[in-house]
Amino acid sequence: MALNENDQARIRAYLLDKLSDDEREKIEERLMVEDALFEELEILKGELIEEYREGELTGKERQSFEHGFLSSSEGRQLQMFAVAIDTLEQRHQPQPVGFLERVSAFFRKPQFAVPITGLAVVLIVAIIWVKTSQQQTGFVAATLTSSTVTRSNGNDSQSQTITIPPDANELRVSLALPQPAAPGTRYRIVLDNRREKTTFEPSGQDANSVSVVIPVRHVPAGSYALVIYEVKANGTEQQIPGSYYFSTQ
Amino acid sequence: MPKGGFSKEDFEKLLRWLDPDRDRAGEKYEKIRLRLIRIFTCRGCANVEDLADATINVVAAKVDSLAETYKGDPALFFYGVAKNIYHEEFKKKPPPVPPPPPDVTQVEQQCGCLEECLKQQLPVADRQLVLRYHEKEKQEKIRLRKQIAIELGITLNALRIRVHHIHARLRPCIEQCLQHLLEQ
Repeated sequence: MALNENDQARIRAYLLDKLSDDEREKIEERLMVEDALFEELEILKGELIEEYREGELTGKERQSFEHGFLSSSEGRQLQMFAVAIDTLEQRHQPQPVGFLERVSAFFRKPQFAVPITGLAVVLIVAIIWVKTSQQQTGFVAATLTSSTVTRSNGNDSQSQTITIPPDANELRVSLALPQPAAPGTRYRIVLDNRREKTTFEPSGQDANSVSVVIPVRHVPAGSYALVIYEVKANGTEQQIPGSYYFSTQ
Repeated sequence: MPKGGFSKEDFEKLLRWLDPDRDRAGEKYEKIRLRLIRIFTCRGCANVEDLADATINVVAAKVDSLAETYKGDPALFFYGVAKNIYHEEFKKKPPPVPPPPPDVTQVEQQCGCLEECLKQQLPVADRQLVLRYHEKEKQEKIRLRKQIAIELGITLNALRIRVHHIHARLRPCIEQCLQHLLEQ
């Protein structure tokens, strides 16, 4: 006979000694003849031990369970078995992994095999297209130094002028960091034109510099400042001292 | 065959009463004995195997008349006798004082043989399933188990049963390993 939720609740109550004598006898009669109900008893014993060990039982349930099933030889054996399984589970806990590894593990699941192959093809085509487009893109490159560094060097000319040719689409700026950065440090770059601020993600970085690609439409002739924020692991940000001033013409 | 009480001939008669097919009768006999043990355990009795055997002895002594007159599932007759045995036992002495909880520190410190059990008794997929099933606690645990069931394309209840069967395969080896650890 198939079990229902009420049967599970009854068996649970039976193991926690919550049934009247009559109710207990009815359940025991069924346990003698119904295989599914008996299997439920066997499963619930283990699950109650789990709940007991995780502190999920109420005070009264805990006491009943300790004085009832847990005090039996079978209860003690099952409790030790639960400890053993927990110990094994803890030893097999994977080490914390980075975001990229988690994404990679997610896509390694078998159900993603076919879609991933398709995605890979699309990605390769997209990369070829982007590379081709990039070859056709004109750009101008500049390296800027932080105002803190230029001041300490006694260089008063803090603003560098960049000439943008008419055929350029991008301004590629390399920002020299005032202090070498730890590997894996994340950044956000803000362009300030004195009227509004626009955020850019870095296009590259190493220990001594951070690069950013700014479409030229954001930098018509005028004066600008770039500011770098370090993004910490907990999501907070800290501005790297100084700004990177430049003008375009 | 249970301890004491009746002859091999009585035991054969008992098996015939349970089922004319001897193999099926043997299975029924084991099933009834295990269930009697569980019921005595859940009622807080200490010497559960002795009580189960005492129950079987009483039934075996009546098997000739039972075979002629009793209608219904024999398991229920065993249960009726078990209730009487329990009440007699209860009258004789109060339930035993529960023993102290087992010392688990040794198990948590030395689990080399537990690892061996895991490797020897289970194929990789079952090993991964049972370890993953026991990850997390409380609400997270419930969510994880639902997720595992979805991934395997089975109901949560089917997953519980599957893990229970994996436990059953693992238990003899782990209990032997624990016994060894606790004796050290």
